[in-house]
Amino acid sequence: MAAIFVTGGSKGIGRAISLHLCSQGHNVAFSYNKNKSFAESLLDEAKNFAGKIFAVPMQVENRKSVQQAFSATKQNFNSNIECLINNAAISQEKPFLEITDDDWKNMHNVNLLGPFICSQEVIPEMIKSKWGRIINISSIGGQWGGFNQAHYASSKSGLINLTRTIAKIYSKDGILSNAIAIGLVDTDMSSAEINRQDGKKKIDGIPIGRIANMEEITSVVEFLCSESSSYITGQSINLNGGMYFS
Amino acid sequence: MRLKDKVCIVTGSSRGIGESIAKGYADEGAKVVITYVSNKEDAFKVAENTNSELVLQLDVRSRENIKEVFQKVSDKYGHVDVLVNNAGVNRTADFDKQTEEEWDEVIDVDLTGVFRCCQEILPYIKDNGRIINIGSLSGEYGGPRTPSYAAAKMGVMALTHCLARFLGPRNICVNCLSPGVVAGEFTEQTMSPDVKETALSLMLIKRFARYEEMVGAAVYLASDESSYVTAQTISVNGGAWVR
Repeated sequence: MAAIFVTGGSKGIGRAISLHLCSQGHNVAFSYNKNKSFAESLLDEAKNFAGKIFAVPMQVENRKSVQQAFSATKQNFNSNIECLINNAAISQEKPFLEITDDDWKNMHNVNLLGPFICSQEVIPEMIKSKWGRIINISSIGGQWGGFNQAHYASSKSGLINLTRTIAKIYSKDGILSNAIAIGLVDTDMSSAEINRQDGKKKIDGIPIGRIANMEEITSVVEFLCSESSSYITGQSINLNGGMYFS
Repeated sequence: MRLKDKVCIVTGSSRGIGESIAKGYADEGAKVVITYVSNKEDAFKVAENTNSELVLQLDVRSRENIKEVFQKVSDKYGHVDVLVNNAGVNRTADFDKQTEEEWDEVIDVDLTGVFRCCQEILPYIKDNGRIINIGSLSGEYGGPRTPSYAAAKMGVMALTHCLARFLGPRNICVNCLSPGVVAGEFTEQTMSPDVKETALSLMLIKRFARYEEMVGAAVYLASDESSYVTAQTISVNGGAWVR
C-alpha cells in the first residue's frame, strides 16, 4: 500500500489528520521538527491502528532534510508517497509595522517554501505512477487577510495559488492539487486568538456559531485523498462554518 | 454507511446527475425520495435500483405541487434530513438570440424553483440537516451560450449564501455543488462540437466528468462529516475554473 506523508504531524491539525488516516487503514508517515515527545506519543497512540505509522524528523524549508525524510519514508513502507499533505506551518501575531524582515522570511520559509520543496520532491514519482494527491492546508487568513498576521495571511494566500499552479501544470499527469482553507479551530496556534475578546466576537459572527472540530477537518482530507475526488482539482475547500463564502 | 436511514429528497432524479446522486445516497444507506417531472418510467427504474419507497412527480415551477410532495414525504417518514435541489433545465442560445420566454423558463425552474423548494422544506427539514444546491460551471464562468442558465446558477450560489446565514442557527448547512461538463445526454443535446472543444481546452483534467464523479462530493456534503462546511461552492469541474 502506498504512503501518505503529513508534514508537521506531531501536534494540532496534522496530528489529527495522521491519526485519522492511519485509523482508516492508510500507511501514514508524518514529520516533526522539534516535538519529538509528541511524535513518540502519536506513534504509541496509533500502534494498534489498521494502518502503519512512521515518524521522521524534518525541516520543511530545508531541501536536504526533506529529501532524507522522504527517502526514509519510502524505505520504511517500501513504496512511493502517493499523497502529500502540506500541513506544517507557523504563525505569529504582530502589528504590521512591527513585523521584521526575519519574521517575514521565517513565515514564508515554513508556510510557503516548505510546501514548494515538498511538492517538488514528490511530483516526479507521482508523474511516473500517473497518480497523486497534494493537499495544502491553508487558512481563511489567506483569503481575507489578517490584521495582526500580515505575513501569515500572505503565506497562506500564496499557498492557495501554489495549489492552483500545481493543478494547472500536473492535473494532466493524474496529480490532483487542492487546498483546504480552515477557519477557526482550537489548536496551540490559534488558542490565544480564540480566547481573546476579539476572537470571541469573531466566533459570534460565524453562521454556524462555533469553531471547527478536528473530525470536521480530517474527513475532508480523507475525501481529497480518495478516488471519490477524482474530478476535483485546483480548488480550495472552505471549512470555516460560513465565515467566508465562496 | 455514511447516510444510514437519512431521508434524502433528490429533485429531478430520474436521470443524469440526480440519478447518480440518488444511487450514491442509497449505497450509503439513505432512504431516497425520487422525483421526476415527466420521466415516470425512468424514475421508477431508478427507484428500483435505489430501493426507494417514494417516487413522486414534482414540478418545481408549482409551489402547490412542492407543498404536496414534501407533505407526502413527511407523512411517510416524519421529517427530511437532506434536500438536493438538482432539477434543472437549460436552453442554449447566443446572448443576442436568447428569447424572453427561454429566459423566463430557465429562471423559473433553475432559480425560483430552488427558492420555492428551500422555503417549503423549512417546516420539515431537521436541525443539523443539509441543503445541497446543484450549481454549474456555467454559473461560475458565465457560459457564453447559456445566458439564462448561467444567470440562474450564479443566482443559486447567492441564494446558497443567503440561506446558509438564515439556517446557521439551526445547524443546517447549505452548500452548492457545482459540476463542470458531464459527459452524457444533456451535454450532447446542449453543446455543439466547437463549444465542447473550447470547454475541453479549459480543463486541467482533459476529459468531461462522469456522473459518478459528482457522488463523492454529494455524499460528503450530505453526511455528518461536513458539519462545518456551509455557504460554500464545491466545484467538481476537472479544474476548468480554478477559484
